Amino acid sequence: MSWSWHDYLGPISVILWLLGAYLALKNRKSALYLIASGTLVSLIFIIGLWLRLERPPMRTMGETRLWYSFFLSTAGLMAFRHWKYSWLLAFTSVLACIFALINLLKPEIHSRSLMPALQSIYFVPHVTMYMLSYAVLAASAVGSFIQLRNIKVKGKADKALYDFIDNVVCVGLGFLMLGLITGAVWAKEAWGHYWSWDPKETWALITLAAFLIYLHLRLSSVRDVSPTLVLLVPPIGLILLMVTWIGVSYLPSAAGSVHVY
Amino acid sequence: MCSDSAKQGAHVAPLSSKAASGRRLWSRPWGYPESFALTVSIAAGGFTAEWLTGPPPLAYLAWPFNLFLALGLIAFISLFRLFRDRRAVRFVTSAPMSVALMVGLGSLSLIMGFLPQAPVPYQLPENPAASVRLGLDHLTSSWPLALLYLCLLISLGATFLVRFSSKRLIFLANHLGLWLLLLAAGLGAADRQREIMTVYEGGLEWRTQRNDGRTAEMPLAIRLKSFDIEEYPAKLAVIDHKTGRPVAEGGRMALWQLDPVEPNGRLLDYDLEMLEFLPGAIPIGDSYVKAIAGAQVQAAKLKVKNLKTGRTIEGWLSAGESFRPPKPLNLGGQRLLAMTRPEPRRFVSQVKVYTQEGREFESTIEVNKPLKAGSWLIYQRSYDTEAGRSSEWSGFELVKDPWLPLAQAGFILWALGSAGLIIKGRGRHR
Ligand code: HEM
Repeated sequence: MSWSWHDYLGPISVILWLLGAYLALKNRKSALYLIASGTLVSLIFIIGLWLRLERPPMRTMGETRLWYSFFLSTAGLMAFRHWKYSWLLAFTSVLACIFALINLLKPEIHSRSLMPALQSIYFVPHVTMYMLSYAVLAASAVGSFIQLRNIKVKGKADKALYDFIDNVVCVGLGFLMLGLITGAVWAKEAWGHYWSWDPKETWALITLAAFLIYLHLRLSSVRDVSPTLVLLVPPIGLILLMVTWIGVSYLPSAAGSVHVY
Repeated sequence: MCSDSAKQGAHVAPLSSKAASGRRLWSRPWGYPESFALTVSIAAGGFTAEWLTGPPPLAYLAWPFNLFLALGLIAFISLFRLFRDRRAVRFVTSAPMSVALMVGLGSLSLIMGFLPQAPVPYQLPENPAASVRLGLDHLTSSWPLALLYLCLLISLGATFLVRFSSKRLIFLANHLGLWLLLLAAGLGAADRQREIMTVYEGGLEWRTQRNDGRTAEMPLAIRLKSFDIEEYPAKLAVIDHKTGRPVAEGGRMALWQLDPVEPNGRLLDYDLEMLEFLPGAIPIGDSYVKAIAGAQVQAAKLKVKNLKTGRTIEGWLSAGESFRPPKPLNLGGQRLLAMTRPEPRRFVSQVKVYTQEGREFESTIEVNKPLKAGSWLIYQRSYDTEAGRSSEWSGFELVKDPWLPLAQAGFILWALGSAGLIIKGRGRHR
């Protein structure tokens, strides 16, 4: 299954996800099936591409976007099973669509080659963990926005929503840290040291710090620290995360980084 | 896991309850304002020290002084455990303190994230600019980072010891894992050694070259039996004769990668069919044959059909290397079909290693597959890129890090802690 298949399978996923998101907002149960089907289609394409390329499709930005779409909608489905937030399901589906659409509208050169430094058993877990954490942490930022609105509009925070945000941050942090750890262990094997302040590493650390700060801020009572301030941390963390993932290549500090592609 | 915070009933309290803003700074118990005041003071002290004295002499922290420092640190934070009921200890091991330190270190990292950092080990230039004197171009080895790092080690270690409880395994794994890692990475820095060694095919080498031009002798010697590069099938591009540039499609260079499994494809207005593919070939006249040994290039025979004119041509293509000119295929109409330089799939050095103890063994060294020889790890690092596949030498990097086992223990614990967070989440507050 080569990239040209994406011209057909991509739109199918997008339509299923969009319809599903719409129905989710209407609280229809059928939303689940549509979104799950869209996710399945995207998974089939990923597997097909993997077999075709004879390497994990995780090298180019376009390839990582495939995974991001897939993990986002999967994470949305799993979180929905647990938390029953239909806005969450709608949000993750729409975001998955956006990344699938970027791949449809802006195809990039899709090379089969994988440079030797990327040929490692850590490659797949490293990228997978990061994509999973990005998907999960994006949900925490949206949850924070809704909680901020609760505080503004209703004057009162929703306790269950706090539970959701806290849990999601914990899960996302877990994946983020596993991504960092697999990356560090891999760096030791490829370049001789597990940490070398490469700009992408530095930004990954900043992102990690932001979500750790949220986790530790939440240990204090509302009398000691303003809830608004605390709830602003996940959205800021999401912005930092986007810089880490996409923005680093454009920063002056990135000249000579091993991560720019 | 979250028993402590649940007790505080943080999220049940009405949000309108005013933050205790009437409280004066440094009146007890200390909280966020004091934690941030302390962190900012330490960072300011660090910047002042950097301005006045230049970068900290971290090289002095080599064995055995770093060991003494580590033991001193452990003894020091054990005192925190002994006096765990004191207010000062509770302050150092409090959530506000941890947040302030993480914000402090995060802010320094943010500067590093924007400003390019000089490589380590750092040499202060003559007449440094103000930003350089403050350490902004070498924060990784600066006073402010070193001081905040030390504070984090103290606070994190003390938190671990003071809050130790066998019921909080996830908390323990995360904090102890990170602490061990930070200890090994920070205090072990001066003991880490990296050396560059260049070995010629057939030659034996035991000396390394340093940046300053000096050489050092290693306790091991490497004989390079051979160095080889395996390549991916190359990509083809259409070149415009007039501009000498590849033809683009949709803003990007149009490329088609050869594929032994799938010989048919399309590039711009051309139908391509690969008739023959030779990963290692030598030219004979206008065509290529499989090479048995020696200098070789990648070559492919293609059949090209111009979809606009219907004209079909056939011929050999090769990318060429330093010692062989490239061989493109003339498509007519001011256009050439050319093979781009193939990308490497593997760099392999066949070596024989001799250690000082008299041991000798043969092995291969590849990217991502370093070779262990005693306390050294040998990495594939470089080769003669001009010569490509016929490079006559291979560059190795030799790395020694006596603190690595401690860092590895830290990584394992931290990974277990991360998995714990994923599985358990934060739990529900009661
Ligand atoms: C690897 C990164 C870290 C993770 C995953 C992590 C995770 C956690 C978690 C889950 C808790 C709540 C424990 C509970 O309620 O039982 C906690 C508490 C705490 N952490 Fe961390 N932490 C990390 C790094 C740090 C750092 C760098 C500090 C800095 C000193 C720190 C200081 C604290 C403190 C003071 C508490 C409060 C303990 C208490 O009140 O019982 N942590 N941490």
